[in-house]
Amino acid sequence: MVQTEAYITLALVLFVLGTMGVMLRRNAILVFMSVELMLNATNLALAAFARHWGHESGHLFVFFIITVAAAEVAVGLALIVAIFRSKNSINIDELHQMEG
Amino acid sequence: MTEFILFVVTGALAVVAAVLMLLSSNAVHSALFLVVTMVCIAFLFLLLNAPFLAMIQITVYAGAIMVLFIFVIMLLGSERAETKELGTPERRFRWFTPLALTLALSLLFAVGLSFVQSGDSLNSVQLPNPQVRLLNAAGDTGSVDIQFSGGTILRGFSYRDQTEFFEIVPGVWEFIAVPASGDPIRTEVTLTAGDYGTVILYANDAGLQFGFVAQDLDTVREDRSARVVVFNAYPSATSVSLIDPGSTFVEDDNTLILADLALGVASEPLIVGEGTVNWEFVNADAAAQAIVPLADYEIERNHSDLVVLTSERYADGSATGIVRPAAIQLLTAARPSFGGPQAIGYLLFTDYVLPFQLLALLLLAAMVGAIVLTHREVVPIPQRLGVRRRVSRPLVNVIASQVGHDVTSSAEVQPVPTDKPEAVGS
Repeated sequence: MVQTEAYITLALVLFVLGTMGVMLRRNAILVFMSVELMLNATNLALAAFARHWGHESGHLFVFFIITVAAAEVAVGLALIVAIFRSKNSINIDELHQMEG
Repeated sequence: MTEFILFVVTGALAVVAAVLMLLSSNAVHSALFLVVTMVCIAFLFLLLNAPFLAMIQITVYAGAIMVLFIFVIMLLGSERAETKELGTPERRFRWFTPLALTLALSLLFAVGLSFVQSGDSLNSVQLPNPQVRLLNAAGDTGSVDIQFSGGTILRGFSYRDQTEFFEIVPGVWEFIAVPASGDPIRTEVTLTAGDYGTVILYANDAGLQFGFVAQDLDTVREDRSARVVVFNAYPSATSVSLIDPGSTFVEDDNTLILADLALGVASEPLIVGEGTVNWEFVNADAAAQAIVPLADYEIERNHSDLVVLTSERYADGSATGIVRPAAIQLLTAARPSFGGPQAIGYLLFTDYVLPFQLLALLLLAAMVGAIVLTHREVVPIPQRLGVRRRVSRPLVNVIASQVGHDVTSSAEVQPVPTDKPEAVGS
């Protein structure tokens, strides 16, 4: 059986990669995908802890996170589409004004 | 070892796909690499005993969400939205790059530190505490008091009484039964984490005895089957057998289910298909004399049952009554398998109903939000001028164009009379 620590380490590496994506990429859709990667890393850690403690509450949290992520993607992509309509760009460097 | 190799290969693939997602300049390629990462994580969920999550991960994440991503990328035509920006020196927020790198390095440093300092705290998987229950199968002794861990936990524990499973800390525990008259008897039970067991109080020729049956309450893997353990506490026979007598009128169609169970011994678990069975306990000697039937025993799927054969004193009107054999059945539903849909559904509908409903509310809000955000006012398309005006021109203008001069300009507007009209017939 693979140690829980190995899973946590892998989750940490994926989370770091997601964070770097959020900070380094300028395409708003790619920033969103990096956020999804971070959420996935969290899910992996939660599932590893659920197995470690022999209780399924962690699985429930993963389930909730996946559902919330689906809702978040729907709203976020709607926002990106709306921004693209008004600015004709989704480069987040150009989106530094609050006014529409 | 195989599991470790699978973990290393899948984890490495997930990390490589994540790095490629970060580095590829085409957003569609990034999305496809993210799909690879998500499928790898679904596989890791399988390794982590979470099959339900693995399926959810593939259908919802790698399926629905990524379809949405790719759809929006292609809709906006933004596959290469940032390539022209990458080389320009006047990028805003240039401090993001060193910040991200510092954060990444510090987190990776934390990973290394955790490797160096790793104790044994996370190295083994924790098993839940053992659980035991008590059953009094001594039909001829009257009620007893049960002492456990220095205190009396049950008073007046009489025949056929049973407790629910209760959780105790792993270790060696002593159970003491104090009958109304006579010496108390004691037994020591060694319980390790993850055990389930039943402490059975029964009587033989020497008096009260304790028996312990370790039970496996895990999911029954065989399809539509139950697990049955038989405990023999019947003192009047040296050993008993369990048979399926078959037809009542045919002598030689008996099927042996369990042979030669000695007194105070539990059988190996029997895997029995669901349905109603008619079994019979018989004396295991050559005469195979019937002891007690186990009539219309409903075997339910995914149960872990315990059947205790014992004897009870039965009041028949005489002063002492008669002693007759009896079978006690303890029907226990086996636990749903860890991480399976049944276990998660059970938790969802018991402990997590409120978060689940809040989640439903959130999803509704997200639906409304997505509609509101992308909704565009419908602008009516302007009609061609001539066609439209001919239809909507006032009747006055139509008449004017036909009679040849402008009616509206020359028409005199009669002033509305302000004085009161004369009353008619005054």
